[in-house]
Amino acid sequence: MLEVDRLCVDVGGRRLLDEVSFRLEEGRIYALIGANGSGKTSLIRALTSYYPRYGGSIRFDGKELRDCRRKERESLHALLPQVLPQLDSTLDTMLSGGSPILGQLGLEKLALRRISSLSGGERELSFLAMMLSREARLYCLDEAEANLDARCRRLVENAMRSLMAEGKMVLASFHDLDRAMRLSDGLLVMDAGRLVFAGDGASFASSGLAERLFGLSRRRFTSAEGELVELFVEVAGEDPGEV
Amino acid sequence: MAEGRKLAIPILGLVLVLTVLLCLAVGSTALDPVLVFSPGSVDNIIFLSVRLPRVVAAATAGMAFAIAGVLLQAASGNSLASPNIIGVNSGAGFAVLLCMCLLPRHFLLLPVAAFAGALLATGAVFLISSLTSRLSSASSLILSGVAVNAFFNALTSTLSSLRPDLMGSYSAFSIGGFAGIQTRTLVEPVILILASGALALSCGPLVDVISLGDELASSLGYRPSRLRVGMSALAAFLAACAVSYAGLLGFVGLVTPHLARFLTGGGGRRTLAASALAGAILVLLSDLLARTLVSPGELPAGVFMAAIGVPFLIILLTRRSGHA
Repeated sequence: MLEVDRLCVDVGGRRLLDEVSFRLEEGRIYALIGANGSGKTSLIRALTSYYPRYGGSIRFDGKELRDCRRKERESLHALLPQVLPQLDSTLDTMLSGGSPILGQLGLEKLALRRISSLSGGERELSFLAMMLSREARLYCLDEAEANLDARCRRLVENAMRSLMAEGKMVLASFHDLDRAMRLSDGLLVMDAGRLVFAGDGASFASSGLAERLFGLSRRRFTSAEGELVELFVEVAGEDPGEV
Repeated sequence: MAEGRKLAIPILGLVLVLTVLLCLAVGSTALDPVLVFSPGSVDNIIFLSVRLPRVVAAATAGMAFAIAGVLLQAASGNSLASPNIIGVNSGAGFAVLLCMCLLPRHFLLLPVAAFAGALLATGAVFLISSLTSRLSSASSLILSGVAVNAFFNALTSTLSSLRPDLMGSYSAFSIGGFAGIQTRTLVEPVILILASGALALSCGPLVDVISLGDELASSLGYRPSRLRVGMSALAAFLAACAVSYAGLLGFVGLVTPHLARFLTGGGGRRTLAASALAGAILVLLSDLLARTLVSPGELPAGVFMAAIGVPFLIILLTRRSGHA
């Protein structure tokens, strides 16, 4: 279990995270949502030891993150960052001769190419493979799906579900609220460095926060197959009609 | 492809051995293979006091600059980084010129001055970098290097304006080379290079970690700023040792890491090892050309290093853009 209590992060005199408190449990996927600059990346960075100094506490099963030794920290969290580095090594080298994960993500043919020479989506999947090859408690994906096509999104989704089935904690940031609601067991909503909501999707949809923060409201539609679906639509936008 | 990459380091090792033998055998004076091992003979004296020290100097300087290049490119996250960017060249250059001005008869002090100047400039880069960024970020390191380089280059220009008579001697140092290398000025820096080179090779996995960027390195439990400072300091030390007797042979630190990554497929330890071998080969061949092409005269090795290295770099960059 991960318990975050009144977490504060200040960098260069600016408060990035302000009194953030929440709890994550094993075997669940949590979606982190918020407008640009709301603190999603800062929160993921804080949970993955990016900031050496922070106020409040981040405890994995009661053990404070800042008190952990390097090896302990390595075993606690794994990350797929939003901005990927230009890595001149091959996937084969980084994974020490390959891994079954390469097959699961369809990366076998790319394993001997330098990661920096791959397309944006292929690089994203390569770093996902490197993250999945690590044994950790909390897996953080920072806007992992932003540049992916539908097939690659399904691969990321499958990877998150596999981690959940293995009893891991998964925290993934999204911009697509519908997808966040569909994939996650719980939502964390950030606004101006503060956590303004922590709970399930239904509570979030009825809280009015989506309208206030994103200008979106939850509407019901009937699909072509006669199925009732709920989607977020722009408050001032056109009704999308039948889906 | 994967098998070829696994063989890259043994092949480079074999090429280095052959290059060393070639450089020992060829020179402005033809040596008799029998007399070379006959103590007291002219051939033996030339071999032990001229050719062998020169080959050791070229090989170790190449290794030092190449390893420093790998460490700096990883630490700065910039594939154009080389020992120049952390002030090694500008600091060493200024210190050598200052030593020539103040202590003109103490030529043996020049290597010490180069070493001290390189470390002083590097220290200044780290100090400014740490003052401008608490995290000693990659960009602050490079910008601090630009500032310190500009400062020391300005001092060097001022000195050279005041003492234009020294520019002949200084330009030989600034281009880099191994003419007149002596065993007595070589022992300490070579031992230090071998020791710190071995330390750098043991840091191979850390090169992988810092290459992943700050976020991923942190998620692996490391403190990227500490890794960056440690690697850059080690690189500065290696380069300063080499500069003390080889002059400002900057290009090898830029080109060999790219060649090594291309041949091995990356990976910290493999890149460091391949780069060290390739750096030694490149500098040995450059020095061989420098001392034989216009024999009995001599050209600076730095000229040939650029002549060999630039086409290599262009080919690598062309291949890279083709892949991308």
